[in-house]
Amino acid sequence: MSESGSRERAGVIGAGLVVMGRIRGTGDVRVEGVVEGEITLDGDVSLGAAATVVAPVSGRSVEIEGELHGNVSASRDLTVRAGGRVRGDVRAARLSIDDGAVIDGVLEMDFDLGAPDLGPGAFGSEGTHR
Amino acid sequence: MNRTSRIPAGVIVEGQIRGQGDLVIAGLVEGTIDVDGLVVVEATGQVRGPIRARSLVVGGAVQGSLHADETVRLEAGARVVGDVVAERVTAALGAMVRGRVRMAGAERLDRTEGGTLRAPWSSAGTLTAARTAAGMIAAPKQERVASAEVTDEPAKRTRTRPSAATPTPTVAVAPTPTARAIPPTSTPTPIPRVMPTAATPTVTATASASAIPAATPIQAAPMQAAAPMQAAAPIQAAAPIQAAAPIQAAPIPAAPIQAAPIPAPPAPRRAPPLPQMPTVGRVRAHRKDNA
Repeated sequence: MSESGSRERAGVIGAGLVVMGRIRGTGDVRVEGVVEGEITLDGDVSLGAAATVVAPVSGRSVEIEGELHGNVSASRDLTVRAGGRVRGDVRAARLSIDDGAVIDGVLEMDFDLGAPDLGPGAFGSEGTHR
Repeated sequence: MNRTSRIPAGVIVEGQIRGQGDLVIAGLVEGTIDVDGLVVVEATGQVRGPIRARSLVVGGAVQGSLHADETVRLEAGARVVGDVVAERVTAALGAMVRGRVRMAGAERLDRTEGGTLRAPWSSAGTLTAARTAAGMIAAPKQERVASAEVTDEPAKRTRTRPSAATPTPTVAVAPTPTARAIPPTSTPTPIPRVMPTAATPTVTATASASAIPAATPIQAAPMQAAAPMQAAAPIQAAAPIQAAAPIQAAPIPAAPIQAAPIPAPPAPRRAPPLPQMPTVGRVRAHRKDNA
């Protein structure tokens, strides 16, 4: 319900459109064109296959089929589809990388190694690990 | 197949593991793993130390880098703290990673950025041209620097780069060579929307195909495919479709565009990881030499 509702309200940066600047708000946005600047949304962000985004992107769930140069942050899922290219650091609650996707950057996820044998250092802050 | 070694749950190995064959780890390994085959870290498996293998499947916990000559697959439930380097890296939703990811495609992306990026970028460029005219180009963001950096290299290699502003070279460079390359076939075919979309999948296909064999040499292919096709599309000036085929088939006309990025010193920045994962055999030999 809300999915379809938000979908109807989803913004679209169509192919051939260039946005230079900041995109922010609460809705979902799909980018088919070009965005330079920043994308910060409470909703979902998807970059279509033809999309070129040079910007930090943050959203709830982020799906990438196109090209992104910039750091990404997803409070929920980050999905990089085949053909998706990401050059930048990635932070997400959950991450999915399809075969054929390309990521060049650092992945940052919060989790426990969940392995007691790996020692207490395995738990908690990232600093412990590196 | 080869021998498959197995470290079952409840078994702890402290020390180095190396050799040939596949290795399945359901227990705990503390130490270095360097194996010539497939290494599987099962859901109950834990590894503390770097793993190097031909291919890697991780469903458990690894604290250490993953280095595969071919693929690294992170399954749901995998927890990895360490860098992941492989020709191909996939992760299922639910896999957790902290570390740097490098894959062959990334190298290509990085090096070819011009090639890969320029394509979509030139579409931006085309549009950017308008903005330039409108004087909007002056809004330089940090990101723009990145993009400029990206586009600069190929621009330099393609031809002496004018001392223009950041995005301008892209605009100038990309369309021009393409336009020149096209004339033989030039038949204006206005398919602005369809083409970019069509172009990208092509790149994808090529990219994934290329990922399988050796990383370095193959990259030339996707570049050729990527650059002209995408470049042709957004430009729209002349025959995008027809252009794509001839350019790929006969590199000659395309030479001005692609010739530059390809022969140029590859991967200036990302060079290190690649040489580390050549053929499997060499890896071991290499290791032996060191040892």
